[in-house]
Amino acid sequence: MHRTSRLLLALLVAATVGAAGCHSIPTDRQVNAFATATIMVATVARDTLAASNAAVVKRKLRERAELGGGVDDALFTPLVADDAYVRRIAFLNALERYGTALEELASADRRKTMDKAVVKLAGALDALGKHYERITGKNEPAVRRGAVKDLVNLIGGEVTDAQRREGLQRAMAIQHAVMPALLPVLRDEIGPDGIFGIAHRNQAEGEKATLMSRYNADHRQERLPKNPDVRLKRLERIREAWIRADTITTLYGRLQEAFEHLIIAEQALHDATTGAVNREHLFEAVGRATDAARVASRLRTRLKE
Amino acid sequence: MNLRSRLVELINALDDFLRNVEMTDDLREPYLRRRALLSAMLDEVLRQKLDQHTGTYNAAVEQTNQAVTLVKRALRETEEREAVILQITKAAQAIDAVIKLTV
Repeated sequence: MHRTSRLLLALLVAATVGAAGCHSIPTDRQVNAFATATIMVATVARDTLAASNAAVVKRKLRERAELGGGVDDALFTPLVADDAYVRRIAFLNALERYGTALEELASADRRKTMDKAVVKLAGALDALGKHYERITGKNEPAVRRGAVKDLVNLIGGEVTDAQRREGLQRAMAIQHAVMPALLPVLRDEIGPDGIFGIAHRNQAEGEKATLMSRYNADHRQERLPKNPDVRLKRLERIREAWIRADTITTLYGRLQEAFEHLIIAEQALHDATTGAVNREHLFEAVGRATDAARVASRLRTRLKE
Repeated sequence: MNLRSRLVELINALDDFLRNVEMTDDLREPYLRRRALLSAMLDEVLRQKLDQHTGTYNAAVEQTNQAVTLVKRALRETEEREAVILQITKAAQAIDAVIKLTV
């Protein structure tokens, strides 16, 4: 067999091995799903944190409107101001950027394109070698054949992809130094019984109670409008407040669940990169994190409408 | 039960009362006032609790940014290699064309 043809055969073998590499753990698809869940959870958490902060001001304004009194700076000061707020938002922004970068890198598998291009190049160089032998009547120099082989190995999809995966694993290892310590803190702060959940629910429940008590007081003092359509409008407003309070409680519950699943998925992914993998657990953990993040994201969208 | 839970419980009890008992304005106002007072106390308790963890976030931001930089570098390298590959494909096509011309 001609040496350059052997080279082509070697390339085909490399491409087959490369295809087998697709099944390495964690797979690109799993990293991708985890990255998507991370982006969603970070976005919803940042949004919810801002909404909770604003809700406190909203509650104070309602109280002032109901009870009277003048205004001062304290009235417009949100729950979390300055450093405490900025740091949390900065972390959630960084977490979102991390998810986005991870997603892009996990989707950047160019192995097929590269292997195809390399096969094409090897074919052309092989033809060039044959052409050289035909014209000169001599064998193609061994040095050149060696150089071609080195070049093909160096630029091959396999090597490039191994580097890409190494990048993914190193980034996940760096991030693992942070995630197991901080995600539980965020999970607890953002849960229905956490700081942000309590503050937001207090506003929503307060609005509901104020609207209902005002309606009841008007009824007791016979001040309700005679027109049933006008009364219906007020009742509809109360109903909206009811739904809103209910959605807020559910949102914080789901967001907490999403964080919980993200913690489990992150640990499972990290275990996978170190070789200690339970495939079924990893698959399930990443899937649950994505599902929980989607639910939280949908609820947040519903609340905005 | 800690102070935070007690305050939440008290506010919930007040809300329950406000929602379900018909009162005149004179009666309703003191309840709303108490609710506002308890809410202000709750805000303060929440704020203090929040400050306990704030420091943890700083280091985490730095570490996360490091991970982002690493991922972006790996992505850039992959893209650069892809660009090289495209050039190589073009070179291979050029070699093919030259051979066809000379044969």
